[in-house]
Amino acid sequence: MKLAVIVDGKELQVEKGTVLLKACRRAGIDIPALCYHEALEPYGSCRLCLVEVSRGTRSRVTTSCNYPVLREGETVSTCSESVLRTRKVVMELLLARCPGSEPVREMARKVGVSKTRFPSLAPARLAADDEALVNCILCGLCVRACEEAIGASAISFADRGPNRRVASPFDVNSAACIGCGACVAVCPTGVIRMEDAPEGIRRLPFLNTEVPLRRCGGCGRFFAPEAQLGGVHGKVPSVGEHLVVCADCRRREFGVQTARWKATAR
Amino acid sequence: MLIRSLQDLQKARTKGLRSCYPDRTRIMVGMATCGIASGAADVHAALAKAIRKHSVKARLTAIGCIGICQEEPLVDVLEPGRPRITYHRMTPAASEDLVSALAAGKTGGKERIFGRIDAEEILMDGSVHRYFDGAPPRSFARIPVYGEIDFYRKQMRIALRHCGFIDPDSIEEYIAHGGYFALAKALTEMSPEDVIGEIERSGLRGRGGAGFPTGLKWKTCREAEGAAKYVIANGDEGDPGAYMDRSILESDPHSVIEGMIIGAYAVGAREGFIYVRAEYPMAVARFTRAIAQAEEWGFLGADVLGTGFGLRIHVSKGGGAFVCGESTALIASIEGRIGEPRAKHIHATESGLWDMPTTLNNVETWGTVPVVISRGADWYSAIGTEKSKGTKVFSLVGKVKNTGLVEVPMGISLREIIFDIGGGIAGGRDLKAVQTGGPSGGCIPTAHIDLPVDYEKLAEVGSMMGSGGMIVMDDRTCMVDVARYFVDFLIDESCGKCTACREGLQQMRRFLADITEGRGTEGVLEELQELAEVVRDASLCQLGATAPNPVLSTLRYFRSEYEAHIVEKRCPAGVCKALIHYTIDAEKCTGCTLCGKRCPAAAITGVRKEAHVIDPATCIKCGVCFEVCRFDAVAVG
Repeated sequence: MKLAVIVDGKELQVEKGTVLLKACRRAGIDIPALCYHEALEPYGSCRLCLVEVSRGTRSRVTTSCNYPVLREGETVSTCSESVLRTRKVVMELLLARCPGSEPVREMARKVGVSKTRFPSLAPARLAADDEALVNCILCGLCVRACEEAIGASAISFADRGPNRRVASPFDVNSAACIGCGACVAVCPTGVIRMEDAPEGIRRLPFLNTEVPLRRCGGCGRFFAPEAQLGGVHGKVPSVGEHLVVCADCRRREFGVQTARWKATAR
Repeated sequence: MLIRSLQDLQKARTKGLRSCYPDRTRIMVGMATCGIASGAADVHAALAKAIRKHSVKARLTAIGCIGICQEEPLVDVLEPGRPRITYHRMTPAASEDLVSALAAGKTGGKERIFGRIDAEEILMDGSVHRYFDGAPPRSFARIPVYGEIDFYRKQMRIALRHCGFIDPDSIEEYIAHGGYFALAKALTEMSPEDVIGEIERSGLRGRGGAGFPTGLKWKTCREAEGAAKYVIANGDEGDPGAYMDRSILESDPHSVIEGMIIGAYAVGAREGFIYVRAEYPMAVARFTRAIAQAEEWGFLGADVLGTGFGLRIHVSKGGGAFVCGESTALIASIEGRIGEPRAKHIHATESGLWDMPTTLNNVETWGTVPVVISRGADWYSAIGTEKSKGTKVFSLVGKVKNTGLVEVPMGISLREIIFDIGGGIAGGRDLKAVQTGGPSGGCIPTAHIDLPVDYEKLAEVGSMMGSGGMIVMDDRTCMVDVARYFVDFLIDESCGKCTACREGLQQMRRFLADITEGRGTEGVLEELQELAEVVRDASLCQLGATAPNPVLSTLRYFRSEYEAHIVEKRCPAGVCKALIHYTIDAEKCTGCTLCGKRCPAAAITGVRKEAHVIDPATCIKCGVCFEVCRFDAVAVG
């Protein structure tokens, strides 16, 4: 069922239950957000995607990422005075949390914040030399991608309040991590990184985790985490025999076969 | 004993009445956590020993908390045909004396008599059980009567109706007081819709703090579609100083179970949970026992009272996170996930526990339900104000003479609670403010002391009902320091999920620390105000949204006190250590040397009978000298 929503004076027809942020972005109306991803359940942690929703005479400021359109004719403002003022302060808070993060500074510029009036709380929170941890904004995209999209639940939040952080269980090597790198890909601040060491290990230092890589049966180089390939094999058994070589070798092999086949055909 | 009919229940009641009012002496010890913390277990043991020693024909039982916690340990003696006598501040030695006097046929322990009770009102059916006929024996006539003691005179105990009157481990005594009759009425005479209608008409609102109409909540849940439905009791009470849920669970667990069964029947749930903090071991133990009893007696299980309706209740223990009192975090925690809130755009009544329609009510609300069903909506809605019906339990604590749990009709004024029930401010000081609603409530100044207490009125003055915490503050309380204390508490208890609450509260604490430590500059109050409003408006859940209340309310009512800290670098209440110093007035000092002896930092020098002096460099500003000086010679400024 479609419902009408008026966003900044423009009427949108939205499937019932769609969250506002998704509906707006699809209609070309941008709302800033750092913790939202279309493939994942809305979370509502960064508090940047605030909008003002009015119904009759009542209006309130709320996050658009998790606000489902359930009623006909709600009016939404993405840039009312109270939205802009509140969002600006939230942005300043994030900037004070991680003043050294370029992606956060870029988002700040986008919402019109050039500097924060708040002092940085980073040193009080963590060892000052641990830049990666300092710059994590706790958006939870990594945790949610790992749980919802990958199904591994290899990482989670630990502790609470000012001490909240993303961590592997007990801060040791996560046995459930398959090394897929979805957390790396989805991280908006770039604090989660991974590197493949020549000895056949993929390292995710932010998560204290290392996973072994598989050596290609063709060219002999390490090409993908064993656990990830094992997972794919488990889901689609028929592809198992193709997972012993790297993608390049597979293509090359396919290319050789194709050339032979063409030659024979000719 | 399995109850299958109203006749069975009547029979059980008769038996229970014999347990409550035996034909021999009954000695009762208040054994809720408050009593035990004051030494009730030792008192109980001493009584048991003395009863054996003197071969007294008496039955010793534990009862719950009767409310006036500061007088604990409390012991009650009920001899057949006589008033029930309450003894306060009991000790093992006094217990021995009491029993030996009883053995000699006398009323012992006269110096510890707190009051007498002539009759009990059985609230569930409005009947009165008199302990004796005619006038009280002459020797008892001068003992103050329970209902006329200041602490109790203006109270109306509905949720606390049985607390301190029955043995919480005895289902018979609960039934004797009319327990489970409301359930029988609901299941046999009323349809689920009738039950919901009755609750709706009663005007009962959620006692957890938000005040959502209970009947409407149940109706939405009943009408929602779901393969299963659940009822949950929220017993995750975490406000500092508030303990009414604990008291109900410890003193009258069956009232909550009965309310939950009625609610489950109304909304169509077959499974229920109580979420209670693991730090309440006695509440957990008594509630768990009560569930087992209710199952054995046929009030819970596959076939409740032979009606075919079934319900099971499980106990889920919380790990001590304050935020798990928030409904969505509580549900997540029961599911085994991290206890953190999610947005409530879709209510739990439609999608709650395991995404099924769920009715979540506070322990106090559930405990009130049987009364509403039993006495009817009209009776209940006659109590209270236009929009807030019935009674509310408050934990009256702080600088007040009588501390304890008080239950009062909605609409009573703060003045009546603090001065009539609470007996006024302790130590002859002046009232400065009262904070209601727990750590995220607001501080209400003396100017609003005549405010009638209900959900709307408290919100109008910038506070809230909350769980019913009520902290009374005297003129030696610094409101900036109070704001900082509560913000500190909430920083610790924030789950940290959302930016506004996690980062905003920490920045608010920075401002407050600057002010209380003498670094406040001009304009800081405007910045603090703006930030507090953003935290209020942009937080994900009600913990964050209400966390700025202590700051916003003190900025509203005590702004000049903030300004004194900033402009004059002075703490008018003499609390903020960075801004105060202690001095000894040489004129008033008699040279008694007491302050010098007590000073932990050895900062006070002086010889006997001569004025003493405090060395400001060594002084740690603990205030001990100020407290101990009998001549008012120590000044703080």
